[in-house]
Amino acid sequence: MNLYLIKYGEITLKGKNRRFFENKLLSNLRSRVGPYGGEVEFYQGRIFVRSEDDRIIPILQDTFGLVEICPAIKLPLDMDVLRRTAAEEMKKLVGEGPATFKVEARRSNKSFELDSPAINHDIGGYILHHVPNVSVDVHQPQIRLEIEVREQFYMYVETFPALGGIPYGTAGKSVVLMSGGIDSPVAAFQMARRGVEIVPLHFHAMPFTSEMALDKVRQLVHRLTYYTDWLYFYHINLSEAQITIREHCDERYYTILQRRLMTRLATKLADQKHALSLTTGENLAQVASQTMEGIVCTNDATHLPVFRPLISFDKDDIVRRAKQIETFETSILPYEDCCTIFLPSKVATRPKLADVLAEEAKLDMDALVEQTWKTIVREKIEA
Amino acid sequence: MIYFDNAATAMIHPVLDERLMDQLHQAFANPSSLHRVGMASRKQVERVRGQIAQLTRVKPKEVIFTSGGTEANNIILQGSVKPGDHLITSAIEHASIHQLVSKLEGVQVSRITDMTLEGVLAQVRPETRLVSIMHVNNETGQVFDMPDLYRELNKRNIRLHRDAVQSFGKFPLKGDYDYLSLSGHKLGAFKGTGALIAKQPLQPGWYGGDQERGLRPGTENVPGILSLGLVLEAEAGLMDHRMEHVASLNQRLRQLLADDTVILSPETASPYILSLSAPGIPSEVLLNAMSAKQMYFSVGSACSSRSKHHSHVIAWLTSDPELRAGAMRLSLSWQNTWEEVEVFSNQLIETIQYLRKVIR
Repeated sequence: MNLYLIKYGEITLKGKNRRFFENKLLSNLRSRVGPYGGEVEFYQGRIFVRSEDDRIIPILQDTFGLVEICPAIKLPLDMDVLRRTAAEEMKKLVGEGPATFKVEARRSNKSFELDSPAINHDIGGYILHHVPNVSVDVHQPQIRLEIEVREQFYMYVETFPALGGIPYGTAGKSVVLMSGGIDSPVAAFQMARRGVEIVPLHFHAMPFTSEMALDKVRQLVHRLTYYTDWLYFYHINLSEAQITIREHCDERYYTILQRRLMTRLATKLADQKHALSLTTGENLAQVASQTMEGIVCTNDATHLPVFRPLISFDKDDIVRRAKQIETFETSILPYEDCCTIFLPSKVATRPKLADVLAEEAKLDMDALVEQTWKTIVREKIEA
Repeated sequence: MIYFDNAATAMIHPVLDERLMDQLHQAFANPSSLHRVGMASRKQVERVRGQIAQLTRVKPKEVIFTSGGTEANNIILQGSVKPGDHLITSAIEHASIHQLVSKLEGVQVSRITDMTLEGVLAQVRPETRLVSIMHVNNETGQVFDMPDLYRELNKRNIRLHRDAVQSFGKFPLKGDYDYLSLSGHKLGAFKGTGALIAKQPLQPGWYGGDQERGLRPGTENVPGILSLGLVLEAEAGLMDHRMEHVASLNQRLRQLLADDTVILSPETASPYILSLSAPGIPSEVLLNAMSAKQMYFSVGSACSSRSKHHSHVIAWLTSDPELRAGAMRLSLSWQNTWEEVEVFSNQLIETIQYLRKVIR
């Protein structure tokens, strides 16, 4: 049975709310490690995971709120063994060197003859003598050698980095507008990593878009459940609304008006789900509606804050992140709109809000929202 | 559910539900094994080979089992021409010929658009070794019998390959040939089942066993082969009867859809395939709308639907961009009914009329 020490980050700054965050983290961890036969324990104020299955390490690394995963090396309560193993592990990690280190012992087994400072001193000294090219730094060591004294020695040297962030589900809810593109899954991931419970919402235009395009988004949401556990996935059919907009409004404003409608529908969903914000994958100036002026016009259609985690990213950054979270390959599958009839040939790239509102006044927007809302479908996507 | 995409593949033939599992359990062994159960399997495979041979009036050893039409086409073309040869084919073949011919190293290819005997002969050169012309076109149903083609080519020492994937078991082929490709799954046998007929030698392309005269080494697809045997047995003698039924369905479809669509398939086409177009309405949109109502057909040919370009066959048939964009294929089977035709047409017309209003 392997033991892993779980190091988590920002929660320690939370003061009174620390309990709430810790409990959520523990419960998230339990659901994630359960399928791998893992058990989570909270011992002496720290979180540990026990598991026989090595595959648990990437699962832990991909848990929001964790900073580092430290596998434990178990040793009998014998100082000789401890010294030699510590030196061996150090040699492996240090290689040629140079490197700085620090020994940190914690003694929960009060019957052990040496206390923590004594252990630190003993092991530290041994390492200095037996491992070339190392020195002690008690403030910012490159390597932390942690030793726990329980019924055995538990030594932690090597660490695996985790995703950081904040435990999922501790930072409120946000409705995420998911297109099938590269950006929105990354935006969803960014928010989820900060603890926000995401509510994915997709707009299609069947029959002008295909089943396959919808299924592509379903697959992207499924990929996100690897991080968040199961999700409700919502989708709405915009085709009738697009037809109506096309009938009444100037083609230069189709895109903006459509986005305003999407924003209103997302707001309606947010209200129902008690989500306090919207999230989009908007990035400045990639496409016509994503100029600052365009964003102002769509933003106006909601009273909720709209988070745009990718607003300042370069496309390359977004692609890199999409590859890391394994949504890129699915996003680039070519199931886009099969029908270009709703694409305007001219687009107002820097629309003025007053003009947009005037165009929108030609529609009965409330009725359009009501009608379109009726097409909403909710699916449960299991992890 | 109404399934009008039988040129892509057929629904499993009802006979398989009743009889296939029994046959499979009995013929589970490897047909190449030397013991008694192996021999029992071998016997079953040979029995089906015999069935196909009898139907096509060839010798059993001239029948080679494959995974379907595409594989048959590959084995035949790659096995019958070599660098320096010239090959004549048409501009409207199925993707498996269309793409294949440009990959044959060192082989010159002519693609005819004049689908007649004269059209073919006009391309003959001293180096011509093979002519490959499909019998029934998979997108339009057009029939290219060319009954004198074999004789004319034979005189000139040129071999003739017919891709009969859309006609085997459905529509009679007039005229002889050296090589033939056929498909089993289009008749309701398992997917991954087909055969080729080779009355002339072929060079093998794969290695690793003696099965199928060395042309298709590897353990035979016994379940597929047995499924084909059962289908052929169940359908024995019924081809004309089935065709009559399907022809009446085809006629009815043409009648019902004449006002709202342009019928592209000529009257002489195989009744199993009907190509039509709703000009100006992207056919994929129609496909999506009808699919949502559980009514299925296809646009472009099934194998090529991943790419966005328009079908090369429809491009040959018409130069009108509106007709091209709206081209659809309805393909029937003997299992389809008159009622299905009525309901489908009704829904298709409704959808077309609605989309016309929206798109204009």
